[in-house]
Amino acid sequence: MLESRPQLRWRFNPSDLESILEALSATGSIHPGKDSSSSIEIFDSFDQCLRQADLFLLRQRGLFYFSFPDGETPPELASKARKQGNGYFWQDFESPVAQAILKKHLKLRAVTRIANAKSETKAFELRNGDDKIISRIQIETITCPGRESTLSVLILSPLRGYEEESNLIALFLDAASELDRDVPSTLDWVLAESGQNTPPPSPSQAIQLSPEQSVQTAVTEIASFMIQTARRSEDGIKADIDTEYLHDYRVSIRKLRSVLSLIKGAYSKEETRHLKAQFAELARATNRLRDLDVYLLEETAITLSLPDYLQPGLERMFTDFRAERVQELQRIRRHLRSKKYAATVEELASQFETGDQPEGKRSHLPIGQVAAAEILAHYQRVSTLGSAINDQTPDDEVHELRIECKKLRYLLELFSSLFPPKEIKTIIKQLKGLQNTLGDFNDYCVQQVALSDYLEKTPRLGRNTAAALGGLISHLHRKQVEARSHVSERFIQFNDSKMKTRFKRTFKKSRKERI
Amino acid sequence: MSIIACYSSKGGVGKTAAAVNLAYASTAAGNSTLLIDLDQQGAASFYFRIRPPKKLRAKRLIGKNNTAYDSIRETDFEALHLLPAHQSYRNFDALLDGMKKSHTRLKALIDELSEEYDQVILDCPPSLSLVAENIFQAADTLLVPLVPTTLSLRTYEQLKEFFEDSGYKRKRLRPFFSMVDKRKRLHQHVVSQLRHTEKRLLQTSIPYSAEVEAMGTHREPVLHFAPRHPSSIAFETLWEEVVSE
Ligand SMILES: Nc1ncnc2c1ncn2[C@@H]1O[C@H](COP(=O)(O)OP(=O)(O)O)[C@@H](O)[C@H]1O
Ligand SMILES: [Mg+2]
Repeated sequence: MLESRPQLRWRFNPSDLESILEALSATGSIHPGKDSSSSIEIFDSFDQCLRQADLFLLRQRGLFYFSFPDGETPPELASKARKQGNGYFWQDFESPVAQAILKKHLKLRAVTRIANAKSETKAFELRNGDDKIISRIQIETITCPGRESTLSVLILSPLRGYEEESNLIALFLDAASELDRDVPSTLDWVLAESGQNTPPPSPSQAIQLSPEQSVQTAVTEIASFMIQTARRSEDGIKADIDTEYLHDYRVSIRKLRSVLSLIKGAYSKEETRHLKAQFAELARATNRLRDLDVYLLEETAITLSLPDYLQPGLERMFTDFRAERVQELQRIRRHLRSKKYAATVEELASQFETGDQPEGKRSHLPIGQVAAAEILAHYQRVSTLGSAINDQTPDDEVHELRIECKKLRYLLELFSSLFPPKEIKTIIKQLKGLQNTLGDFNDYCVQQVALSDYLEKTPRLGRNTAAALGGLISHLHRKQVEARSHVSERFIQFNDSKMKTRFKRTFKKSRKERI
Repeated sequence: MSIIACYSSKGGVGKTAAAVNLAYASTAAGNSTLLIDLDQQGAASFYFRIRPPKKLRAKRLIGKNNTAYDSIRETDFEALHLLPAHQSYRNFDALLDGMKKSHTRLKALIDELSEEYDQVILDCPPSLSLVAENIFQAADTLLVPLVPTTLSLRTYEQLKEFFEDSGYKRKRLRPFFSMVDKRKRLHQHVVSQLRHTEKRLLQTSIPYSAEVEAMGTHREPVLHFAPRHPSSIAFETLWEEVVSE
């Protein structure tokens, strides 16, 4: 494997091409070589997680390959995708190396083509007095379909052992006023030109509040961002690219509803109730599809939790779920495309845009103090509930703790811009640990209910399926009991004495100022 | 990585013609290839339009701190690189003579240079001296061009004996006929004679051809400027035969 050779690049204006070629031919040593053209297709997930990791997934002539910022990887990484369709998951690539890299970054996400371009290359050879090539020159013109502008680049590639001779040409090119050494990377340029310059903003980046601004403007800002985020997910849901689009959609709506109920009094009671009802309805429409997504994502794990001989019994259920998902997806597509949906969302979004909602009790209070007070209050609630939990506490109270933790987490995340980032990060990290255990506990409960439900409602269930479901339910029950047994220990880990002072230190001051 | 030397103690038998075209064929088959021009005449370098770099001295090349790495030149053909010849190779033997491990110097050098390459090809000077011993140590395969004359068969016998006496493995020697003129009775006779007695003889023969001579004016491998010519096809076939084993 030969090491790749350094190249020098200059950008120029396409209209200067003729004069540049003329100047080069005046050196008397330039000969035309082979011209070529190719296409550039860039693949990434909706949140551009590959690019965030400085990784490009490209496709040429039906073959995928990676490109790192410092050049292309060896061809072993090239991998043919197995499937034709809307998106490619990490499992859809043949090479195990590619799978491992993609799995790490993509997780549940699929990649789709986010940008493409055409590259036309004119090649030239520079020869010395012996008629030996000392350098190759490529003039590359890149265009994105449907866009006006082009990226024109002159690339000088000195042959090994001829760097010094090539250097004279480089000096000559540097002196030309038409040529500029400042060249964007081709892939960055293509992404920018395709309107994919930056990934969709995350809430913590996008929501930048100041403590003095009013409660109403802050809540409106958050709500407005959440509704935009939800809307950006609609196309991906309809195209069924991956399950994360629907998940993101639902999380955005959930956060929107939470901010309305957690920061009461941003709008009038009437208005708040109206908004909450509207968004609750939007969320409810997608409940079943999300449930089915979760079951199907867990298919392998669930199947493997049973002994071999019971596993075939589950096939019937997953086949049913898959069939139901097809129906459900159709329904959601119709729902998202319906005039009624468009009108509702449009109206809700524009309300937040204009920002003249009816006032509530706390509309004019500064958000910094109100958010701090709410966070402290919910932390208090989590503390009280959590401390009371022992092995005898009824499950209902564990569920309550889970819900309170979730509220606290949303408050911390939505209002993180108001508080010291380091403190918030530590709190969220520790809270996450507790939430994971509570989440497991809840998932096992919910899954048992879902399975019992399926068992009850499905006609003509075979004996095998019934046995498998029975086995599964008791397995889930054991896991539930196990998760439950860890709750109080996880709570103590979360709520150590440091955590108490951390909350006081971070949020107490702002609250005092209010009083 | 394998090392193939085009070697004969005689000049003008087609070593360079073979080395240049086999290097070209190796690259065309997808191998990154380094051709090392060990002959001070520099014919292989000439065929690729490459002049010896000013700094390259035999002492540096074989001695401790070699600058050979920096002397490697990229030919006009992708993935085919060349370490050019130099006038001062004339003093090679004298130089090697005074060195420790004087037989394995070349092998050590190639080991150092060849990391990036799949194939190394040596174009050798006609000699039976210390340089030759270095070549015998380094090469995995020695291709020996034989012009079909009785005299050249005798030279080959001598080489085999030398290998025998020095304890080198004789099976690394792979003779092939070069510059064969089918119209010449003698050529036909010698070729068929050796076919019977030498089982290491390669099947492929390189025909005598004006096109091969024309490499001197083209300054390119015949495989490049006349790829369909019978001599080109012969070099191509010779390459396939050598690597197929
Ligand atoms: N197959 C061939 N047919 C005709 N001429 C040849 C052939 N092979 C080599 N020659 C010519 O014979 C001369 C010596 O060949 P060369 O390859 O340089 O031999 P060596 O390297 O053994 O000294 C060169 O002029 C070359 O062009
Ligand atoms: Mg020669």
